Amino acid sequence: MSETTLEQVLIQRREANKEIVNVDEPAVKLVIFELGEQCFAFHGERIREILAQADVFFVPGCPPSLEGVINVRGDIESVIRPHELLHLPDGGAGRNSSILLGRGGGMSSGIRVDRVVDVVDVPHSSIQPPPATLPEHMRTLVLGVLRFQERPVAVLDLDKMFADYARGLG
Amino acid sequence: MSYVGAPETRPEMLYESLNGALDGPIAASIEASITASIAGPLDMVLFSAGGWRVGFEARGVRGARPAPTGATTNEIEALLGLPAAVARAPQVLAIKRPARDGQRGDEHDRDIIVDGPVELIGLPITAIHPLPPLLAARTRLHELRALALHPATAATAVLLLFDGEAACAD
Repeated sequence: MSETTLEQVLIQRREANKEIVNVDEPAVKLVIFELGEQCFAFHGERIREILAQADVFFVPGCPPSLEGVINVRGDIESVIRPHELLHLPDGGAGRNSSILLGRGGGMSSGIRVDRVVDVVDVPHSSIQPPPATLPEHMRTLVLGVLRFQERPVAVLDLDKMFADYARGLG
Repeated sequence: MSYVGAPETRPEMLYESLNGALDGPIAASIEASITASIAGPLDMVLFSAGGWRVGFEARGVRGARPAPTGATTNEIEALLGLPAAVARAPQVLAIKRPARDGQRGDEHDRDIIVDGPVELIGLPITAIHPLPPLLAARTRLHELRALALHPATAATAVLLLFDGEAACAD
């Protein structure tokens, strides 16, 4: 006859549950998207909204990387194309493209991306520091890298992106 | 409709200047209070330049008259930074300029040939939007102060609101 008591079993189960809680680690919400063949991400708290469709009003006198403005429930936001800033080929707005409404560095703007891949919570530890092999123009823009669905993803610094764009880069 | 003169007798407090209303980092936050405190629309003189509908504050425009036959110039496009375009219905706008050396009267007005139709409209305050920060930083248009979405413009076009006095200053 077993000497184990019900009380011991319950204590053991409670301890097990506590351990599960204890191994939880801080998660980071990321909005993962494609620009051309490459995957990038912004921190979720920087993205207010994802717009699958929006009428973009062209404004003259702007660089080609500034697509125009959109009307978001009565407010006007610019829409930028970050391809040039990241030294990527810009194939124009495709069928799967979306606009991410981002806020950073005290500024807000729409950001045209070629496809939104996913919005996910990932463990903080899965984001690694940027590798030393990163191209020069990316070093100040990339906060970290991770793998998602077997693809490398660079997490971008939206504050720096907007600041660089306002300074005339891209 | 041909515009013959800007009203000058309305109380100044109803006229929140386009410059004053839209300058500064707190523009977005004060927009709501402006909307609440300004009773009426902002009087604007609309005309065409470079193929775009453009607006100057009516209080800075003394009047308009048909341009002399054969009068063509792209002076307004050059002043605003817009692409040159052939005027199909040229009109002369008399832009007020501050008097110098105590002189008064309209001898300091600057006559500018613009494309018609020239209209005087009351633009609803809620249709006027400060420039999004990235657009403000990158636009090559001179003295562009705001954008407006209004039925007076085509469904796919924005109205470009300039500081006419600054653009037409010496």
